[in-house]
Amino acid sequence: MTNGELVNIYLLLVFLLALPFIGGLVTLGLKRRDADVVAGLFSLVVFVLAIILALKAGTRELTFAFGSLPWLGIQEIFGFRVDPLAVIMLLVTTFVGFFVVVYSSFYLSEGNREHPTTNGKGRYYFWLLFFLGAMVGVSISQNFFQFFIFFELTTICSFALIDFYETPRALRAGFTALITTSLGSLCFLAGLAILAVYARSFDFEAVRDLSPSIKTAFFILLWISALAKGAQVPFQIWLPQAMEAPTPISAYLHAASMVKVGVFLIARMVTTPYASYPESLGVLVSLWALFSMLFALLAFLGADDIKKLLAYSTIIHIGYILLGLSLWLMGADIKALQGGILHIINHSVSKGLLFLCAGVISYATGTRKISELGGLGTKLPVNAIAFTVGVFAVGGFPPFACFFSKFYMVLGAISLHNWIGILSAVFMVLESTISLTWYTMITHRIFMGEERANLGNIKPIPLYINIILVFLALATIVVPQLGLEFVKVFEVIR
Amino acid sequence: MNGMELLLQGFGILVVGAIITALLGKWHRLNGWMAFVLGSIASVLLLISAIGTLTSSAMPTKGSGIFSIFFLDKLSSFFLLIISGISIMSLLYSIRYIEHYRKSTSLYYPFLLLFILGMSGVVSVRNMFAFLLFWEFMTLTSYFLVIYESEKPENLLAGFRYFFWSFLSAGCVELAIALLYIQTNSFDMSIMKGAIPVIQEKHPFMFHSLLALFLIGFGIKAGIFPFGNFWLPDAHPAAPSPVSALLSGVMIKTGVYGILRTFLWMLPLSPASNIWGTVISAMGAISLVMGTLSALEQTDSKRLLAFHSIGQMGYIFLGVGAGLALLSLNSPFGYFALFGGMLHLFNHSIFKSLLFLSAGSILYRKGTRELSQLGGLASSMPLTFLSALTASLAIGGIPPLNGFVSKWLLVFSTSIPARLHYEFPIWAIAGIFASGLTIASMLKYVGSAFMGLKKEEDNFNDVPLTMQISQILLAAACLITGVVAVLPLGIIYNSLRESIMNLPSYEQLIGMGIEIAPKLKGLTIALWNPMLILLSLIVLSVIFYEFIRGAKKETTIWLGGVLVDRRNLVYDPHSYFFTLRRGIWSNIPSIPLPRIERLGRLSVAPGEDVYEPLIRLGHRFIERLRKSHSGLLQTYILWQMLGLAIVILLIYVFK
Repeated sequence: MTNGELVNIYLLLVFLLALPFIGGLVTLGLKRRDADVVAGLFSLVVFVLAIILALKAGTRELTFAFGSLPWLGIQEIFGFRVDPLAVIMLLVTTFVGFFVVVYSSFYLSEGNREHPTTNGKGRYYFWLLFFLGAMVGVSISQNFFQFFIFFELTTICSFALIDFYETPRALRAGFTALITTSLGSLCFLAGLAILAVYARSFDFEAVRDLSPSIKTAFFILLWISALAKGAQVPFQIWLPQAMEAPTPISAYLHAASMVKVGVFLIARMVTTPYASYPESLGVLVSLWALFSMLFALLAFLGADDIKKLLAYSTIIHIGYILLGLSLWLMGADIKALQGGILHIINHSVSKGLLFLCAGVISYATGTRKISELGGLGTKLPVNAIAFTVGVFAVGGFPPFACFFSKFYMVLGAISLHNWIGILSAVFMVLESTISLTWYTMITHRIFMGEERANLGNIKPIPLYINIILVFLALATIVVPQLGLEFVKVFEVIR
Repeated sequence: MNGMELLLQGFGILVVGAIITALLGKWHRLNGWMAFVLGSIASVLLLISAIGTLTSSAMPTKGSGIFSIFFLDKLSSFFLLIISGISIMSLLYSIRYIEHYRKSTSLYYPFLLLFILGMSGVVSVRNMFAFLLFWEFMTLTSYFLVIYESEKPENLLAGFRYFFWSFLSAGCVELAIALLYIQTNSFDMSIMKGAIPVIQEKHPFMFHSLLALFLIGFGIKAGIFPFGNFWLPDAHPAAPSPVSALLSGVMIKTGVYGILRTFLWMLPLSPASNIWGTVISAMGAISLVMGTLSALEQTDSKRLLAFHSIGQMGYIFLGVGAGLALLSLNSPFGYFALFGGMLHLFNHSIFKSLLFLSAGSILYRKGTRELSQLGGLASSMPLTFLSALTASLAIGGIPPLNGFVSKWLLVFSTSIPARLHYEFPIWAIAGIFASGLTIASMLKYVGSAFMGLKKEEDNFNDVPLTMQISQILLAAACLITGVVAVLPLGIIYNSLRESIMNLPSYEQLIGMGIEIAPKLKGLTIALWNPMLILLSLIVLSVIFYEFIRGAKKETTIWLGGVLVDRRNLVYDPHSYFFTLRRGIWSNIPSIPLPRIERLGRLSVAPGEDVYEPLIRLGHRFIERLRKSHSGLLQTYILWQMLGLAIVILLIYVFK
């Protein structure tokens, strides 16, 4: 690569990181329509920049490092890192982010029957754009320390956004989220301390220099923080409570982005070449993921609030990703790793779509309880079709999104010729069957049958929202194919 | 134009048809004709490509470029023939039938055309990944068809059951494919076929679990006992009748296609074939008895036919399994068993579709499926009665109709080689027993619906012409394929050519014959036998009719002195086979899917409230600590003194 091109990419990265924060500060002072438009523009520009970066960088690995902390004795503390994993995370976040920002202009208005909002948009977009910036920062972080800084920033933004409606329940939910994920962050901090002391560096590759026992301790600490962030057992309480947030936030933070930060961390650790983590760690992570998925599946089957249903489903799918990554760590075929990373992409798009559809339902009818809904298919046809597509995408029905990632993970699981592999494969198939059937029943309950009298007038949905839903529904077919091309790059040495 | 191009063109037309019919939802009649025309053109193209592949001796046709996943060999063509043939009938029937639902047809015809596409795609791919895709696509489209009449909650429940079990079957097949993929690193069926002997040698346990997964997966789809009971009896009545005809007549046959593909084509003949053939035939035998027994007590016409599907699939499994087992033991009866099974598959698709269409005609005119409310329809609906009668006789295995030929082949081929497989004659006896039960059950069906005195309120004519034509054509097919049994047998012989090594020649299997003339060399004894039977039956019936005609006398019915209106003298369908129902447990309960409320109580504990006690404990502790902030200066000085004392103590201890 020529120097000129490198400088271009460097500038691109700087803009990518800086723009969301600037946008957040700008929209803080704006009201209503102005805030919508400005925030939308900023997120669009960030998305376009992310695409340009992806095209320019391709599948290369580039690192830019600067800054230092001499009193800690560590050089090159800040920087940017662009590699396929970073590009994937960046694209997913900015893609969903843009649609969520546009959707927010529709959702946070007086027309919303469930939560009519008149003010606070400046504050909302401030935190949303800061979150977008934090996600960009996480994606292109060059080392664990920088990662941690942006990791914590996402926690704070999430806390603020969950609290947006400022009802007692929302405040409590935000507090729960803050405390629970902070427990994880404490573990992360401890891990950082270990790395600094024993490896004298925060680089991703610094893990190689650790002795096996220290490496294990480091991995476990960071794994606990990933569990906390991804709402796995025992940290699962914060995610269902976080559904007090506005639905676009649920779609973005709690389905597409923030919960993925934890597994992104694990993916970073696992895909570091020659990191050679002990195989027993893979066993631990996979068994724990299976347990967590089972737990979440039971809760999923009993949920009445549609957002809590989707929240538990998210917990299951984060477990899927962890399962895929850990199976590879145990020695499975590379397809397990590829499936896990592909699932990050697929699930973000599909679950984002489902949450947006759920938001349309609560906007139009004022209720989120499935037991109160019924017969919405005639009034909200586009929403019904998009929801069905989202359900099939999440459930793993070909040719929609999650089928490909789940299939890859099943292939990887079976390639491990031991009982964990077979258990994982069988469990994945069973879980897909059960959750897909249950989702279909829910879809029927909500959209078909008799329209309930207590729903009152169902508000019409503006055209641009329907277009967004249709676009995302189509994306669930197109994105996995693109993603497959991306993940085929991952031929990492363990 | 080779076969592959025709196939792809057919698929293309189906897709285009789906899009067009989705848009014409409001104009039912136009939409129906549009679907029929486009669907038939596509089906005819598929038919031609199938026949072309069957009759040519060239290599199997495969697509190029992106379409290289398609692969039309002789086994696929056999199934493609059945799929396209029955689809044309179903489409023709749908034109008028759908109108009685008074719903938008844009939820029906597109899915119907795509369903045909899915089924055709399943049998014509060589890539297992694409197979899985088409399999699930088939499930998806048929699911929407099953729940077409979604106003009734029982249809929705039936749809969910169907969805769940189909998805589970896809999951089993997916696991099996994954196992094969890991061994061969390829999804291509031919490569997998080559790797099977290696797997058999090195990993016998995985080999057998692979086959078990395939069997379970395809068995669920084929509706064999016990898997079929979970979804078939609910899904087939719930769907509109032309769809039921396709589901029962064609879709469950794709399960058998899967079995044939894996156990016959992929698996080379070995002791493993013997084991699995025994298992398959045992499953078949159990299914045919249990399915038919369950059918005996049904009074809903379509549910009755659905249980019969489970039973008849048992025959097919019996034939295929016995064929596999006997072939691996080098017995020539294996060919006959296999022929019998596949011929029964062919015949069943014809007469079962016809039965469902006739049940649909009754539903169309009378609005009910419940047999106890029907009666005397023979005079109002003569053609429907005739076709239903033909189909009933066919399913019962009465010559000269087609069911007889396949059942005869099955019984014959399983009862004789007793030395090789002691249990086969038992299955043969079970088959004959089930035949009897089938005839009895069909007697109930035809008797309750059609026979007896015409009810006063039935002032209608027979069903519309298009519906009649489809039924008549199928009935004619029953007769023709029964009499000219050589035709389907020849097709089956051709389709098996690639799957079995050293297949004996056509003449050796189907028989030598008297040549009429050098030009008609292909006509063998198999052609003449059924005709002779038909001839003798005609002669016998004429003789009997002459005897009876004179002896008939009309009289009033004696009811022990009670004056009863003749019209009320109907033999209620509930009373049929009463003793059997009392004696035999054929009430296999279906597993209900859990309801939301019940599970809700289960899941209150996990999820959010797990930490409630802990949080409350923490709160109480912190509240107690808060009391230490009393606001009095003295308390704070006390705390400070305490703290100072502890610090001094610590310094002293650790000095």
